[in-house]
Amino acid sequence: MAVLRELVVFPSKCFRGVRSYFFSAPLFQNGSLKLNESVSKDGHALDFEQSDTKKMSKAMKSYMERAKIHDNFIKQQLHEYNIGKRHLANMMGKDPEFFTQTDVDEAIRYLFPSGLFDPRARPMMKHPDEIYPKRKAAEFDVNGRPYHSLFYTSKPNYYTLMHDLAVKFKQLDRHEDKIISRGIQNQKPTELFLFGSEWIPKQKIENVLLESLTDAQYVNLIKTFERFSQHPYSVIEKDFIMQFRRQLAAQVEIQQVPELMRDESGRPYMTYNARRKTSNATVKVIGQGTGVISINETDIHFFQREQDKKQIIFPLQFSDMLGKVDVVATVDGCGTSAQSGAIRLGISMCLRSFVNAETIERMRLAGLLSFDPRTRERKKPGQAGARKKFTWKKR
Amino acid sequence: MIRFSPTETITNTFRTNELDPINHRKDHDGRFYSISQSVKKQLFSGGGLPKEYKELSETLNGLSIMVRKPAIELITYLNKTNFDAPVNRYVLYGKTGSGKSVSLAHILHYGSNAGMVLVHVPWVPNWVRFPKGCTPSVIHPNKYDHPIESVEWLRHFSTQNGPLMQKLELKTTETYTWSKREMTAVGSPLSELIDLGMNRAKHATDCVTALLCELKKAALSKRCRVLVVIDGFNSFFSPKSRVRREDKSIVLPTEFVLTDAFLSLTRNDWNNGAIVVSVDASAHPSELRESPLPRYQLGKQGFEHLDPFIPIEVPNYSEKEFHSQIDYYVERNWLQQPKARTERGRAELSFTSGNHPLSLMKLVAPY
Repeated sequence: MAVLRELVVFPSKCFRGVRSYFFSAPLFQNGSLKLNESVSKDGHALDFEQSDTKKMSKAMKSYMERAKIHDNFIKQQLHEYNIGKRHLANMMGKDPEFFTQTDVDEAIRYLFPSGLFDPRARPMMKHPDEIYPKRKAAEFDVNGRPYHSLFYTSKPNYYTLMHDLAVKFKQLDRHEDKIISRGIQNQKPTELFLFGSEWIPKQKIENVLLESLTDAQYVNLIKTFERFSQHPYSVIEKDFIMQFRRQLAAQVEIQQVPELMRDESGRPYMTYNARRKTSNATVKVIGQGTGVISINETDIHFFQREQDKKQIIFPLQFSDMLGKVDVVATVDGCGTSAQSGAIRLGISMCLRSFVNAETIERMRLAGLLSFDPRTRERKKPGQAGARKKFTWKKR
Repeated sequence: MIRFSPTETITNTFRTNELDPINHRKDHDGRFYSISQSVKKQLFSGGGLPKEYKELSETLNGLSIMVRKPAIELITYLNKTNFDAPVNRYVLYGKTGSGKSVSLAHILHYGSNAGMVLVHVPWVPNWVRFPKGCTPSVIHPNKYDHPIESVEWLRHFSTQNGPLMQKLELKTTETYTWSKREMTAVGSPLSELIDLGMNRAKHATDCVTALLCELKKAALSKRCRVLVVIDGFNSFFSPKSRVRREDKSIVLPTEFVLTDAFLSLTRNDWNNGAIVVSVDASAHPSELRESPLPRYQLGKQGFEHLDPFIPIEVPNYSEKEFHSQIDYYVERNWLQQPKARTERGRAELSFTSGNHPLSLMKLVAPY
């Protein structure tokens, strides 16, 4: 019996559960695609084959042809990739056996240096799975009968997921009822802790399900998930839920506050190089001080405008360090606004080492510790300025 | 409204009872003493207090000057001066707006109380930058008169020294011939000379020269003690002025008759007096404002003229002076925001003004 050879369809390792969950149909079949095989050991089998292939429609035939071509193509690409990796390893003088993808990237960057702005436009050599989009396994058998019961919804995986959420919700309800009936009413279940993560975006869900969703369908899915995770006993399905959440980067990278340094006289101090637009400021905040400020060897009147002086005083006042520390700053470049902004950032960053964690958090919320990335927007051709257009004439 | 009289005891720490500058000492540092309306009118009606300072004192109901270290230093020196030795020259210097003019006003009050004849030029750049009409001098070739300014100055002199001049009864030692018909004979009272100058603008500048000459001689012969106070002295050596000849060339301040007169008075070839002078960067055009120090501001010519002198720096407020100033503003209800009166508010004011007197005054102003 001719059997379709199915394509390898594996999104990523973390969705292993999803895979076994989604594809109830067997994934690997013995044997390979033998469409035009006329010679057979068993004549009996041949007759059977011929009768089967006759029943297949033209659409089915072309589908299977396409599947075979794609499969071969991927195999070819993989083969080329592996050979290419070995070649690269030889070129770079490294061991081909232990040549990882990072080594490949480095080698390509070295051999094909590119000045292109977008990283995606530069030369790359990656595993075919990362370049060529995944396809679904065969959704129907030889006779055209679909494997999945929800095939005719045209988005079987999506609707399966939605149905399963509903089913699980009911299961959790039954669990809750059981608990209540046993009379363990006071026991509160542990809450599902979703802080620090967010629902994976639409693109990622599409990659997992291998189906494209409309915005409304995505929103619907997320709403369902939200409702699901708000169930008191949702912690039971924590693993399932966490498959569809991703960690927020900010939680992982916490900036380390540097330790105070000591100078010759034993006074603690901290330095920081801060930038704003194109001006650079080197700021040194010295503890055990009286509020002396020196900017480019002059006093606060280096800045004539009140708004610039206010920028300088803001971090000191906010953290209650006015009159307790001395500030020595050198600044150059750009104009007064940028210079005062750079010094402000420098002072704030230095003050982190002098104050407690609560004040640092307050400073962060006040925006004192964020680098201001705004720069001058370029002028575009055909316009008078960055945004300003020339006079529009109707005719 | 609070008035302070010599007999009233003062409970504030930022004010002092001692209204006579002669008695001001170190422990009066940072404290305000008030000047009565009559004294203010007598001494400063022709100038001497900075305009904004004067207006503020009128708003705050009374002129109160803070006793600061430079003035105390000067007063100690003046009290200890050996008036038989040649005159000492004192030069007050510091950043613009640090309190030099007010210190000079304080010294002026001291001189008045000490019975010294006051020769006071309120602000020299007024003669150099905004002359009301310079005419070529008749007597001195290639020099220029200031008829209107001289009349004003003689009026200012007579207001300041009126009662004292009446008491001293100084007489001229020379004959001054003004024209075929006008003449001031030897032995005539100096007040006559002054009156002539005030009435005849044409001869006013020469009257000033004559007056200064007479005062110098009078001091030498111990008939009176002279205190010379000049604000913005470096303007006499300014490289620019607003006076132009017919051919549009600039007349330098060294070509003014008044300059010669005051430079001769500030030479140390006489005794029985004192010379207190200030140099300020704002008295020079913007090209010469890089440094507030005396050597730079006076230039070669000015430095050679004044050398040797005693430089006295007028710095920014010290902590004590700053708090005293804030106390004064708070008491006068000039600082009305309740937050400004707190510790944090004071720290903010100190930081934002850099403890600079003029900056603080402008910062605290409602306009």
